[in-house]
Amino acid sequence: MSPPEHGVPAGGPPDPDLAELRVAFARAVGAGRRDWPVEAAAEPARLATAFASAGRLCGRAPLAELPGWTCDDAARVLLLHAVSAAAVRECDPHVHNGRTHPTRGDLPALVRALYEGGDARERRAILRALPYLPCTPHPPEPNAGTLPDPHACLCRRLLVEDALRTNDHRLVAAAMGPCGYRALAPEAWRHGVLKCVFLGLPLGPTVTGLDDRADAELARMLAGFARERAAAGRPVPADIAPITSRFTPTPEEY
Amino acid sequence: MRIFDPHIHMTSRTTDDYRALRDAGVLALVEPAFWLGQPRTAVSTFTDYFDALLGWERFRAGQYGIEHHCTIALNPKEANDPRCTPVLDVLPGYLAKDRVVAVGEIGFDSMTDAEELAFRHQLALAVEFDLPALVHTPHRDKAAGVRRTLDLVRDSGIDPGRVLVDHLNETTVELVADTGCWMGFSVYPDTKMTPERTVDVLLDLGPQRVVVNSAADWGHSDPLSTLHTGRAMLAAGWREDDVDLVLWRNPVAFYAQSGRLELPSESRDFAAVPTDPTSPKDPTPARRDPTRSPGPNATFEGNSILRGARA
Ligand SMILES: [Zn+2]
Repeated sequence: MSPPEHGVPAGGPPDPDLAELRVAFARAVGAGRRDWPVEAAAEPARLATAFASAGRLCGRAPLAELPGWTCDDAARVLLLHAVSAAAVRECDPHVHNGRTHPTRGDLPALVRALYEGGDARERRAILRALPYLPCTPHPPEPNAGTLPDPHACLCRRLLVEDALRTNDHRLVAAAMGPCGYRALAPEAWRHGVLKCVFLGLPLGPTVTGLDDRADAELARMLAGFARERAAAGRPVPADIAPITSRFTPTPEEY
Repeated sequence: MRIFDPHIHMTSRTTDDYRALRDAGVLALVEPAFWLGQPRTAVSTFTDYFDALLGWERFRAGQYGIEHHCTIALNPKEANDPRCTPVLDVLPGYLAKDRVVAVGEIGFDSMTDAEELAFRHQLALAVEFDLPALVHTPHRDKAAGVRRTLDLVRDSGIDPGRVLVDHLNETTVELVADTGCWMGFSVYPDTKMTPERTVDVLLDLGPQRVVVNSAADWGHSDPLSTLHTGRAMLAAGWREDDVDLVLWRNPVAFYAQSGRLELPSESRDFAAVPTDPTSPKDPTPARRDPTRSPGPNATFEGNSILRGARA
């Protein structure tokens, strides 16, 4: 597999696509804020403040047309995309209308700084934005052959792994969405699935590509979890059985 | 009784406390950034703490049906350690965040030059970020500390209606009463105010521009002292509407000046009592004093009432 082209999101087109996201966002916020993401992207010096203010300016209501999306999530994703689009087009000396814009090479550090400086809602939005941002081409990692996207940036994987280390449902769920599907190595991905089960998150709507990536090892881990739950007299989530039964481990594999 | 605790350090409290707070009617609260008992020695331990106030603690409170807000600042005790003063440089990033409803706790501890420098700097940040200021007053040499505090507030040019002077008692409240600043009483076993003493002070002062908090933290403290104070007010003959003013509408009005409160929808009609037009009013008209208007169901520009699922 060859590295993805500059500016092309890696791992296939994200769902919803940008056009759908733009339309749903515009309908939800109206003419007053429809262009806010692009306008905010034109002020690189104020990017962190704008990113933090998205919920207060654009609202946090769910998008009627896109289940699971909110106005502030969409605003932040569209803002980051606008920043990356401007950076990809950038030519020396990166100054337009008196403003210094980030170059494409600046993007990974910029996204990481926004993530590290962000609250949970900002961090969730960054995780959701990753599939819409161009990947910085780099050589595949040693075990990249086992990843759905062998060129997934290391910098992205670090953000997804950071989110999986939290105990915040919103961040764990976002990390197991499209960004985690593309970026996580098998061991980390399986533990992410198990963490979702522990936190009571429904696997179907939460974990992107569950059927693709589920394997016998995940089934073994989930069967063990189910046995512990049953031994404690606690309910076993119903979404485990389809995975464990698919791989039907023999008793000595438990 | 619906309660907004305007000053409580939940980082130091257990999940049992969260459950008890919600059962007592505490629907929303503000956790000011302060010190942690053990002095810190590096900026990164502050940023981890601030991140926890914006992240994990907010999530934890939400699990118990409580809307968590915070204030961010370099506290006066640690402002004396030159290893900590660079925290002042990272504050602007935090002051732009959702649910950061004031700059605080700022003020004096031992009234050193370093404390004064940090206090002035952070009052200027409050003006710059259009945020209210939560001001801690010292436990030792309190009256002198309150006087000096009010001097610095005056010098800064901040609207006194956007300043809450906290940890007041019988002897220091009269210094603040005529300044236009809000007055906070921390009802805290042993070292601060008891519910009964607070009710006595309120009898003289009236319920306007007054807030009551538990200031519960890692010391011997009681997160339910707001509830106890409300009960003591009722036992002393105060009307339910006055209790609602002191325990809910006043702190909401003060922090709503940030435009960043997010209150649960049920708080709009939770034990709402119509405002009595004959209730005593603050005689001094203040330019931006929001206590003059809010009824039990008031909402405030820029703040939001959460409907259904919490984000
Ligand atoms: Zn405090």
